[in-house]
Amino acid sequence: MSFHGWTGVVLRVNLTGGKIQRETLNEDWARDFVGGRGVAARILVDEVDPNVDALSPENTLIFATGPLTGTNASCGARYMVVTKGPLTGAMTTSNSGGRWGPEFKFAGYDVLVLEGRSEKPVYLWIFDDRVELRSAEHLWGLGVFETEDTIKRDTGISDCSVAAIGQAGENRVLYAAIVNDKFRAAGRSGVGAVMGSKNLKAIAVRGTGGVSIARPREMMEAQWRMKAKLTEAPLTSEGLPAYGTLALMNVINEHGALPTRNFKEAQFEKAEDISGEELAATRLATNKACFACTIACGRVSRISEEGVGRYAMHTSPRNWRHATEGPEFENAWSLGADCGIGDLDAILKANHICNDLGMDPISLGATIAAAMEFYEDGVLTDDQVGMSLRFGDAAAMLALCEQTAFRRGFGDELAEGSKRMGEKFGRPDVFMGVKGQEFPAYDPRAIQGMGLGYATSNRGACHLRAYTVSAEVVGIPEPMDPRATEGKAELTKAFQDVSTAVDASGLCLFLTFGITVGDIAPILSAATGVDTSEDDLVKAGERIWNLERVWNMKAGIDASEDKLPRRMLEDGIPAGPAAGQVSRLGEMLPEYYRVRGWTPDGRPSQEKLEELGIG
Amino acid sequence: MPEVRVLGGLRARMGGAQIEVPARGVRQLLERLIEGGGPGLAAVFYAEPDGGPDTLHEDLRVLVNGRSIVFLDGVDTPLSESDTVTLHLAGARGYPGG
Amino acid sequence: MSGPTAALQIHPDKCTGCRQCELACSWVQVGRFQPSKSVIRVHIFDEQASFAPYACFQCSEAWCMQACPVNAIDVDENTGAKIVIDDACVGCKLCVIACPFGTIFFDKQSEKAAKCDLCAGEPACVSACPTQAIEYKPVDPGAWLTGFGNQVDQFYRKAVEGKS
Repeated sequence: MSFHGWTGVVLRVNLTGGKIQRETLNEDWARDFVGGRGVAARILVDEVDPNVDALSPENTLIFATGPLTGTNASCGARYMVVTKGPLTGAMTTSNSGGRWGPEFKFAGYDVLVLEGRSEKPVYLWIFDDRVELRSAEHLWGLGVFETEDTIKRDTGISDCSVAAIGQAGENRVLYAAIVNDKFRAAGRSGVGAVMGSKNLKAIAVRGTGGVSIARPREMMEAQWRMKAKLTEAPLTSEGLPAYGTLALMNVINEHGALPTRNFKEAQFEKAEDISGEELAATRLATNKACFACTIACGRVSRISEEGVGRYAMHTSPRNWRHATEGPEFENAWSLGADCGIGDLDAILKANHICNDLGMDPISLGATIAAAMEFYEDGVLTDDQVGMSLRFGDAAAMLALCEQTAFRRGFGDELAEGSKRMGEKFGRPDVFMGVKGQEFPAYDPRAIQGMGLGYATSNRGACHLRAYTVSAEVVGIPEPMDPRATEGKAELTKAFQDVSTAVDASGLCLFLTFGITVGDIAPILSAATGVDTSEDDLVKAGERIWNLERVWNMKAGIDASEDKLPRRMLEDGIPAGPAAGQVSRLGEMLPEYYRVRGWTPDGRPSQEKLEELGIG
Repeated sequence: MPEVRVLGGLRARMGGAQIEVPARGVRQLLERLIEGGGPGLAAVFYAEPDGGPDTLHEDLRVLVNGRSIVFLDGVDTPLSESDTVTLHLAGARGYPGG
Repeated sequence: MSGPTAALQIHPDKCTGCRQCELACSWVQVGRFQPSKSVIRVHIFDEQASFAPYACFQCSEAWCMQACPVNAIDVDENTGAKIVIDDACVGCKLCVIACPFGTIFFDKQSEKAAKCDLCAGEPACVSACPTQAIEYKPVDPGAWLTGFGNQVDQFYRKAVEGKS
């Protein structure tokens, strides 16, 4: 196979000895696991013992693009970071857009494998064929923004793209993120802490090469068809460009499925104040696209005049009057509704700090919310936190965002995530999540499929692994009753396999609001020259999903971790449209294992693994 | 009177985020909104502009008290004085099999 | 020297910074997706919330053409575009220095100048742009440039004043 779409090159950097090697991408792996999340998972399985300490030099950090990254296929901007996550202990797969992935591809590589640990802080500089480790001692201690600006100044290459960790990653906050192009993040499960543990501050890349295509005419025709569909579908042509993902704030709240005050309630009285409609009317400067994206859901926002002076921060930015980005729905929820905060300016500032200091706003906001519950229950005192911490206290939330990244004061507890914090203070019941990772913004009691999706997600609670909200709330492709459990096993499996396939291709999951995997398959075939049907692609998704599951089981994360917190299973939603509802996970889980072809105790059967060619 | 909450892009088309409309059911509510909001709304609500409420546009979402009318009695869902109706557009065509 | 019959008209306020124009342009230039070969480029000003595509707008002064010592830049009879005659170009870069707008480039691989030739009247960037931020229409570059300049000026003032 001659490589088209893929570059066919894996860049391997051993940080311990500083050795840099170029290897040929394994053709069978490229075919069977497509790219991105799939190929990276296959490499991790081959090279990393599932039982290593996630923050030790024995863990490997992999950045992988897909065969469509850097092409003109709409939304071909994505790369995936795959490693053993410190928050969950599971294989984590964090996806990001912006332009880092395409730039890396243009430099001539598909995958970057980072091993070992550097003795001193370094950053990796890639300019096409030239790859070198450079001292980052002058960058250590800086935020993401200043790191990027300094690297661009030092190298003189202002159009390079930088993926960096902030102070949170240096201090190994367990949900530290890797942030590229200042505002795009491989956000969840602590991939930034792994990078920090390797003493790797940033990866700066400039690529002047290109991506070649196997069957050009076919490629152009297939992607024009895809773009036309994206233009027709209201969500991708109007909804997302106008309101971003924040359009969901009011929708989910109207359904009574918006977790509020650490999931004690499921409707937020100030949802409108932090909604996409409010942002668009008062603070939106423009919408922004990732590389090659024809949807452009990104928010470029400005803090309001009153908000500029409110909530003084110790760290960045230089000027709150400059445009910032966000917030996404999940972030506005975690830093807002989940903490009982209805102030969009406070959310924008907290969101900006998360980008600059390099943290996952979902886990951070949810952990602060859990601490607020502690405080209101009298488990924590003012002395312990260093301040009062009631639900709705925006100033406290912002102060703790900063403290967490630096592990100062009570921030040192928050940096461990809400599961470990709950256990430490004798109240593990405040942890709202799965496998150590906090829930995103959908109450699994009100939307049954999400409960099953959270419980069975390989990287801990996550909305992007099986976005059944699409069917259960938005009504796509067919409306399914969010309160019913029937059919949710099949639905969850289908969404998991499809999402995994999209993640492997290098495209963005949001495309699936306008097109199907059936539209992606011909683009992939034309780009790579490897004929791939819709079924092949979904099968690849299933293959990757099972591969992740088997690795996790070897790491000790088995079916006993496919669970939800007691609150979700026993405490009915107190009020609102879904009042009285609990998650009926027990009804769905056995069916899910059956649909997956797994044993009743949740193990991928030998037959299934052989069918998928990974037996 | 039932309260209608309008989300997203529909707000501009309907002239507000909250409207009170006297109606005993969803069918009547949609008809009254079109009467009040001009013929342009018919094309937003209905798949066929002249088709009426029986041909709801595939992109229109109607909730009564937070519950999609798909799981109630459709456009024949009755409304009482204290009910809340949510309207928004959420059309997208993709995901498995769509 | 004749003026163009049509030219690219760019609306930065509509641009989302996706760079589909660069991908389409590079496809025409080299048959690969390779933004470094594109002769239309998008500059992204994050803190100013502004995205600015720029390409040759076929100015009637054509300083590149005047500066060229070997007459390697000519006018396309049909479109009025200033085009580089590859066989004649000796790669001296005088045109790159002469262009006040930075829209003629030197290609290291071919060692020739490269600039927008309006794709012989069907610019690929125009059809690739998802937001109609680039238009191709009959225009006097001097006339629309004034509007463009005003727009940039407005963007800049907004950014400096921090108001949306």
